[in-house]
Amino acid sequence: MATDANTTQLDSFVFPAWVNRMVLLGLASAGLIGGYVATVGFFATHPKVINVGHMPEQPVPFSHALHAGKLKLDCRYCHNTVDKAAHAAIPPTATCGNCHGGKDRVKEGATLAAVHLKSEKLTKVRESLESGEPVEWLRVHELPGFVYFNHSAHVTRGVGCVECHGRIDKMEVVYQAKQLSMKWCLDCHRNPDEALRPVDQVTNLGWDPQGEELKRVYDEELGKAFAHLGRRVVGSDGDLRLFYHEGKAEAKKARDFGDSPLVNEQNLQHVFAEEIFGDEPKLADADESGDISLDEALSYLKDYRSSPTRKDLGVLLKNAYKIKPKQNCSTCHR
Amino acid sequence: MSTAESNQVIFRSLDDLEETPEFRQFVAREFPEGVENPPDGVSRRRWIQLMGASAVLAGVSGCRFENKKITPYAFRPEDRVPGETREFATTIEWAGAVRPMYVTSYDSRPIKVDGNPLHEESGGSVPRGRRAQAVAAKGTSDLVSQASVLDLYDPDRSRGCLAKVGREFESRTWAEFEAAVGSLDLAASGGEGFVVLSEPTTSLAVSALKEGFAAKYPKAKWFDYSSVNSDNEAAGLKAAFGKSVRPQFDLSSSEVVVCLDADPLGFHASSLKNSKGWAASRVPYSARVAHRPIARYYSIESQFSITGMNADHRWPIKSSLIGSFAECLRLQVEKVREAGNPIDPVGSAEEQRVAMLANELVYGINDTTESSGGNCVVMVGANQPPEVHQVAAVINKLIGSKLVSYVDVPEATPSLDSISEVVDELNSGVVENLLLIGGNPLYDAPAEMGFGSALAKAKKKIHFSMAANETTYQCDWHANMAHPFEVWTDSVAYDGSHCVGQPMIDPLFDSKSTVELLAMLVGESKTGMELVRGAFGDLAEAEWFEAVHDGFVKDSASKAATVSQPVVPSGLDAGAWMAEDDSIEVVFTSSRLYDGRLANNAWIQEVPDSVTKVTWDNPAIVNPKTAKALGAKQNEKIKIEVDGRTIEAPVFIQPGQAENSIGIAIGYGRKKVGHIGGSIEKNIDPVGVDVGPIRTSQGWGMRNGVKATGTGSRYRLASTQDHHAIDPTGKAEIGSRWSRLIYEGTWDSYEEFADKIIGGDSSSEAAKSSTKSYSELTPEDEEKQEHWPGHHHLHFENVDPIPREWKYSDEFKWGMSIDLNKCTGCNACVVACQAENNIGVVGKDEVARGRELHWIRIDRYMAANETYHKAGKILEDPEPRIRTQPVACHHCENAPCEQVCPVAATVHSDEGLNDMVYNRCIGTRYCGNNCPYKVRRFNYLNYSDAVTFVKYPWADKLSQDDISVKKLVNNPEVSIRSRGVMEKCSYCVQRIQNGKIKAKATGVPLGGDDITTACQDCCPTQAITFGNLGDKNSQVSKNQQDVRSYVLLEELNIGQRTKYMARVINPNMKWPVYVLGEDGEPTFRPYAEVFKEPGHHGAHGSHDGHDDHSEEGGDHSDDTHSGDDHSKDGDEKQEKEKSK
Repeated sequence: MATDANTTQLDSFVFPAWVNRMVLLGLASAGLIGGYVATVGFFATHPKVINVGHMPEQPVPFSHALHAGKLKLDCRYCHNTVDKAAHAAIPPTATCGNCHGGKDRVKEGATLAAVHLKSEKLTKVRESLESGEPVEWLRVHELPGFVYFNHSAHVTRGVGCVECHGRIDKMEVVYQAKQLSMKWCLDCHRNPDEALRPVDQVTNLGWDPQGEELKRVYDEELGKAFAHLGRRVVGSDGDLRLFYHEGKAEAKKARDFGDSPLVNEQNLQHVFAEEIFGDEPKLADADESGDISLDEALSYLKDYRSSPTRKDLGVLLKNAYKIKPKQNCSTCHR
Repeated sequence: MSTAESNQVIFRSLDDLEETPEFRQFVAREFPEGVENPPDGVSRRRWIQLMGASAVLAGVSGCRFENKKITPYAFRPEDRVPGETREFATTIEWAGAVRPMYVTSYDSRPIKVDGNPLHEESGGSVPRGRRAQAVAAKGTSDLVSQASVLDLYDPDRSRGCLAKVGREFESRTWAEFEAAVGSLDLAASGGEGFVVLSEPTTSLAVSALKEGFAAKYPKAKWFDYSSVNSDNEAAGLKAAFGKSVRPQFDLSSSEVVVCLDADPLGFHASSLKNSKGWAASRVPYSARVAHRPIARYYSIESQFSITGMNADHRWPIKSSLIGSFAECLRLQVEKVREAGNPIDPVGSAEEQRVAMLANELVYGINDTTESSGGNCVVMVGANQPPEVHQVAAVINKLIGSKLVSYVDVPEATPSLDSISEVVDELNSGVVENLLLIGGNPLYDAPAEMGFGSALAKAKKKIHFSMAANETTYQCDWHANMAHPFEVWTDSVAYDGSHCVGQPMIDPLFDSKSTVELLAMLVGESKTGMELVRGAFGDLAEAEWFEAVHDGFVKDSASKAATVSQPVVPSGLDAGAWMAEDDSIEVVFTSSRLYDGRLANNAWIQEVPDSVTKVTWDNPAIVNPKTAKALGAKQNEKIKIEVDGRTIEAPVFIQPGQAENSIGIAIGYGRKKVGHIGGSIEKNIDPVGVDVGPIRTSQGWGMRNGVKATGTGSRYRLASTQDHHAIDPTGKAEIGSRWSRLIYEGTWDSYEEFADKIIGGDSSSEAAKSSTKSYSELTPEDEEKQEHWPGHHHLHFENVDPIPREWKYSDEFKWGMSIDLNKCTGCNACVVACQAENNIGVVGKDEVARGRELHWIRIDRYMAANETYHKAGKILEDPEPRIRTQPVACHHCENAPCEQVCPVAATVHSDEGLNDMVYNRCIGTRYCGNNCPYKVRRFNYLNYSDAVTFVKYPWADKLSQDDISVKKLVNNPEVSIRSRGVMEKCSYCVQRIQNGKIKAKATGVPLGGDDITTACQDCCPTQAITFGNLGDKNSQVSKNQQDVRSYVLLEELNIGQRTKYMARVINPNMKWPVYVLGEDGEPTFRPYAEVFKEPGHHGAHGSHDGHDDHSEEGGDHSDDTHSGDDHSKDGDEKQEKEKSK
């Protein structure tokens, strides 16, 4: 009886059973709302959403599609410090003036016509040339203040303009094509192979070799890599030299400098390792004169691909340009 | 402190000695109590309003792109690459003091100053390791040069000319100013009643214009005045030689240098050259190769100077008695010369000391009758009256000193005579128009002259200055002077070379140079550049370009003049200094603020003083005994009375200050200077105390017989001396471990040690034929790890400091070596670091809370004789010593800070850098708590951006416009840190990265010494070496291999990348040193008896038993004695040695 009495008394203080469901429901809906807010928040503030597509209207309607695309002006004609300094540098008005300056110029015997002398679109350029005051361009690509970026470090190591800026040569008005977020930077730094191209192609935005063409480039770069790293392989039993010859990598003994290649594409590695150096090649460190060690030479040859992909080319270039994609925090944050 | 001299007790401050709770707190807690409290000044309500508003704004602005403008050149100059720095040689001159500089400019914006590497007066041609051409070498510089760039962007600079209308100033243009000057018709009646009061200048362009001025205004009068000058020296030397000469010192081959109140390494017109010479004369290996001892410095002075801190023997004597002392020394030197051999020192300690000084000055350090070869010199401080300089010239002649030579200089009227004449002119009422060029006479003219009331008597007053100061406000017109970085200037340096100053930026505001102003007055139509170039005579185009490029005309330094036999002054009493003297003197000491013109420079104000570590103040420095007599305690004010005028100044008790001497720096207490230095209009308190009221022409440098009394009123000084004190694990261990922070030993023990390593003594055939180059004195046997003075590298068996999975780069291993034998504690590195790394200034209140942000701090330890300590009278040691040690991040390989960061904001790079990722930091401050060196600094507030809701000194005093001017000084290569972020020394990572990028781009490999840090560049003695430890030939590798190299707190075994090099001192072993006798009375004993030298033979006893270091601390048994039985311990060791 006592128990019953207690139960009845307590019952008035206990929530009815249906409340349990309400609590669950409440929690679930709170979770859902929270989840919704988080999801929307995440996607709404994702760099892909808020960074990509920024397209301010410039004071002068300069068309990259016309100049870089149709007329095929090299990027570095205007952005001429891109391979020398941190900044790619917006060109001085004087650069525009080379063509739109208002009078014909004679350069190296040829007459260069003044272009679009009366165009209204160029008013601000003409004004700037007249007054010496700069044209106030609007910034499209911007990194946060705590991030350091250096253009020259990238374009001199085979990272094309297109990798970060997209097909500028197809843009009437330049917009931000990539995220430029930290994750996006790291994606490439962790896996840079496919983003690398020969240095002479960095400003060729449409460059995309396939098949035979890719192989030709690959062979050429392999040859250059040896040339780049130095020709003499130390530690050999003779004065062996690696050199570049008609697009093919070849190895020859210096004293046997005839026409017949000792090494051809098919048995490059095999011949290199066994016939030239014997079974137990002597190894030595590279010395200061630019010679490469046997190890290093072999590493190139070992990875030789007869039908290369972009990735294979990238791996080759990474070694050739001595690229160290894994960087320290202080490289970008100083 | 030192193992070589263990019979002393080390302390940082009086609080430390007394173990006050405040000091314990700084030792035990990285962040002292109350450091987290918000600054007062803003109510919670206001705070919420502001926070609410900013949250809304952040929400709105976060959604859209801000359109930012890029404005390229219309016509870019050839070779100009946007974003690349360029360096220009230039020169600035402050009231006749000339500083050759090398200024780094970023997109035409000067951001960093270094010394001109080609000019001797800025440490030029210092051997600086092997350096690739790609990296420009820098000269050395001092802290005021380093800070000069901040003045350029001082928002308190005038924006244009000002005219007084009624009682207020209204802004005017230069054209209006010119018209107003034209209407004065100054040339009427030949300039009758026209007076010019200018600060002195060495500019030849100005002299040329002065001739034109004299022609146009024949009856006008021209006076030169500066409160900081070397008139006493000039007058003394003129009396000695009968013509105007300036001494030139070359300390690089010095053997004995006696400084009488002189501070050749600190406040001296040629301090950088002197510092370089001092360092060269004390390099132990080159001294030994040359078969000579390292130089011995004696400092006889009233107040600790930078030279005094570094002297082998410092002897405090009242400044006003130094003249008498000098005469006594002269007589003794004469006696020694007459005797033809050293005279045995007898009598009291004082008499013995004088006799020893005289013997050494004539015969050099070694006790032989061989002459010193003239490598000794006596130097006298600028404060001393002319006769003392005259006596020094006589002594230097007597001892045949080759270290001093003289160059002819133009005759000049002493500043005090000029100003007195000007005041007379003004008072006679004949002055119609007064033009003041620079200067601030109302603030710094002698008190008794009443310059203020005299000034009011001139009809029209024009002040030409960079900013409106005290004097300007009493004038009718203010004309705006340009900063030297904005205009063409020329000047004649201390060594007589003719220097060019070139503009690196167009004048930021509507301003002109002195040359341009004078050209306007004279009616000269040439531009500033043409006039400056004209002053260089007929230089061909190429020669002119070379001069501008180099910053001076090659080989234009003055040739040594022939001087006659110096005349002995009369009227000095050789006995006065030994007599009882209870009168109190006040000495007006040189100041970091120069004559007060740098009072608005926050970098200089915030640097802790080298000796007292006081920031933002100029306390009256007194000896503990004198303080007691005056009835004043630390942080209390005293009243100083001179001729009925008084000032009140806070007391700072400094052991080692001469008895009855009060030292107080000039240049402080300005009332109308700006948002940093103080401004009555803006309701900002002055910084420090103006000594003007008690500074008279009778007692310009010092005044004896003043009245001083304690007032008992409290005043808080912001001293950093106890901040970030390194705690050597608890009190019980203090005695043994403090001795390991700074290693030091005597030259004798070093020589002996070196002989042992090389084999045979230095002069032996074995040494000469040894394959081991003395300059690479590395431990012969790496296993033994034998080091000097008497310490070993600890072995940690099975304890690998580097995590095993970690892979270091083979190419670059950055490291630093700091040579304590060269560090003078001058503070230049602190400001250089601040300029390079955009380090914030926090203000006096914040410093007092322990929130200063300097990445380098210079630890300063005082050491007192143990006999005084035992008797409980440590403060009564009359001659304590000071040692300094710069401490910045050690970039430990197994860094304790990295292990505790919860967000990986501080991480290790494979090159050995302890990277700090500011944007990751959430401000837990765990890292700071875990750093054994206490080198991490936390941004409690938004110091970099003065617009903040928090009230700190000048936060609400600046407009947006002013802030954008201030920001121009920032180095764009370094992130600006915000509130809530930790920061610390990065080894100048931006320079490392840029160097690597440049090396890759140019294909020139990076040499081990090619990258330099900002502190290294500026260091006047080149004490800091930075470089690649991976390159065995780099200077830093060699330094870290040296026998003197040691690791601070090595027992932590954390792979520190910064190492120190032990200090070598060269004391006179017979020098009488004061000790407290058994009877409690001071007595004296020879140095060698007082300071035992356990450092001999690389000792701490023998090497036996040292292989069993315990893993916890690597401590060995005979090191764990307490501080009290040092002497006993030393004796034991010596016995051990003998038994070996």
